Amino acid sequence: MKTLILEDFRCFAGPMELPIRPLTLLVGENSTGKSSFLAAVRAAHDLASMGTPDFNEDPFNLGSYDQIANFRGGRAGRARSFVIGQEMTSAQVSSPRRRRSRSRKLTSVVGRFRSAKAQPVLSEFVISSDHHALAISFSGAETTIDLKRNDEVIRRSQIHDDLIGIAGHLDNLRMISYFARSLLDDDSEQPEPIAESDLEELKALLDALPPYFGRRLYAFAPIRTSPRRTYDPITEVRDPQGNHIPMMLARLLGNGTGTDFQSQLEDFGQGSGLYSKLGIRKLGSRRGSDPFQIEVKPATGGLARNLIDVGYGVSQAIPIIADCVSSERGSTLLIQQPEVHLHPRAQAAMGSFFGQLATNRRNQLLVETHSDYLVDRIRMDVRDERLKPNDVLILYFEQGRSGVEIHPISVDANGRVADVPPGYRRFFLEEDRRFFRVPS
Amino acid sequence: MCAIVDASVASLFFNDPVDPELAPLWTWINERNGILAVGGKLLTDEYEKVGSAIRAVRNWERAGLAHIVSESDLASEINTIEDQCDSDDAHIVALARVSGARILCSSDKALRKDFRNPDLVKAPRGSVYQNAGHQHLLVHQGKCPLLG
Repeated sequence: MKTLILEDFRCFAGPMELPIRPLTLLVGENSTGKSSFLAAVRAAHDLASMGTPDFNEDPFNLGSYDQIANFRGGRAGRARSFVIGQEMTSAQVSSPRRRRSRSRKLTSVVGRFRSAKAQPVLSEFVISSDHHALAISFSGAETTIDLKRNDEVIRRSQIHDDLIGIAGHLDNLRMISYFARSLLDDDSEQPEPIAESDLEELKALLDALPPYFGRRLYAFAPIRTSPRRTYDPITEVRDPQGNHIPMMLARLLGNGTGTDFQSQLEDFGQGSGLYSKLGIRKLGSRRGSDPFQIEVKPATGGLARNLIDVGYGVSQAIPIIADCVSSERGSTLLIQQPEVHLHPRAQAAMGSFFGQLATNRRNQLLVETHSDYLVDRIRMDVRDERLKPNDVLILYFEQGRSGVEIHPISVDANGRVADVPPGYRRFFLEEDRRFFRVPS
Repeated sequence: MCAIVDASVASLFFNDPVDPELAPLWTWINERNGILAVGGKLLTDEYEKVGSAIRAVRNWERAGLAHIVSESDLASEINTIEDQCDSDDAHIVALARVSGARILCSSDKALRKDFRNPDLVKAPRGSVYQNAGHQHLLVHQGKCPLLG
């Protein structure tokens, strides 16, 4: 994702296009829309995979249409529709004759939602590049697919719900994309076929969308599950609170061999001062079915202790680290307040850890944080050339007159913030002014 | 424009309450995007002795309002000018040359003389802020050369 596109979504009034980098930090006061922003990233991600955005899937619970569409108050009232989308780069074959020649091309995928029975329902869906677009609009039981060049419709096709045989629009999005594909493939049979160059560009739009083989996006809840003394083996189903983490640890640490997963987990433990080693203690002889305990060896040395007997911060950090390390390379990670319960040393280590994920594993991370230590460490890693300046961006959320404003703040090669808006860190500067009793 | 607050006034500037003669410098940084240049011995030795200074510098740095110059960037500059300085504060003059700071807040007479010496600090020449009557020096807007 290169850019998140929003219009009248939650507290964000009007149209917005926000740059997204491999490591994007979301900062700002409470209730300025940072979590909503993450929810929008997930919805945009789902749309690009021709999936169905669920605005109430954990860890984001946005409610019904009335809670999701922007409310300006007064005569303007509630927005009649809202938009979520993204610009993304994708490798594109420039010509079938030169299939090896690939270039990075910017494609945008945008969905407009309207209210239907109080729920947000997709009413328009557009995939576009510089000059071409594939626009799908839903009206009652009819779906219209427009193929466009420079905003001019060059082919229109209409499908009735009966043809697809499934009610509702969203569920059909992927099916409609197959229909659009067949339109393109069969266009030569039309009386006036579309020019081959246009066909190529339009097919490339569909090719640009990531395949829908499971979601390559992980969203973490701001609070992780509480530690327990003993765990019963259960099915390992990933959830945002990290309830699956004990089973994951049992699976990946259980055989005691030094895996890459284990070494990455322990590297973080040592760097953060949280622990030096993690292990699994099985309480029975039946492999896989007996209960087990998670043991943590303190960074300061000494005997291994049960996870519940060490600081709470350890149990809150491990799910994030374990899930990040086990995530698919190149996947998107949405993380809320990873610093919760952590000492500043561990907060800073978390910053370096995220930087490594963005650099070494090509993950795209969006991290909502209130931690100066985490942000400072990332800036230092840029200064010390562990991270590229262009790979990092701070998005500062601020309540404006007509809604929340988002200010991108870049980090230069010296790790310094640039393009800083006046309100950024005003609270801290005012606190210092009060601390030193500087007259106003 | 960047400014330097040297060790001779640091305990007044980072004081509770702040010295009223120096309060306009605070306002300039906090509200008018003035930038404090710090680095080298001034930060690691002299400000360190004024405990609360680090807190303020850190918050200004996070807000892009303090420009921290590394020890290594200053070292070669100090070697270049040390012999031309009357004061024993070549590190402050070097800081001005590296950061582009052209306002100095200091009560050290020899350092003030060095800072005004166009052979040491030029394009533009350095100015010295001593009290609230010198607020007119704080009108310059813009960024330090190193901030780009």
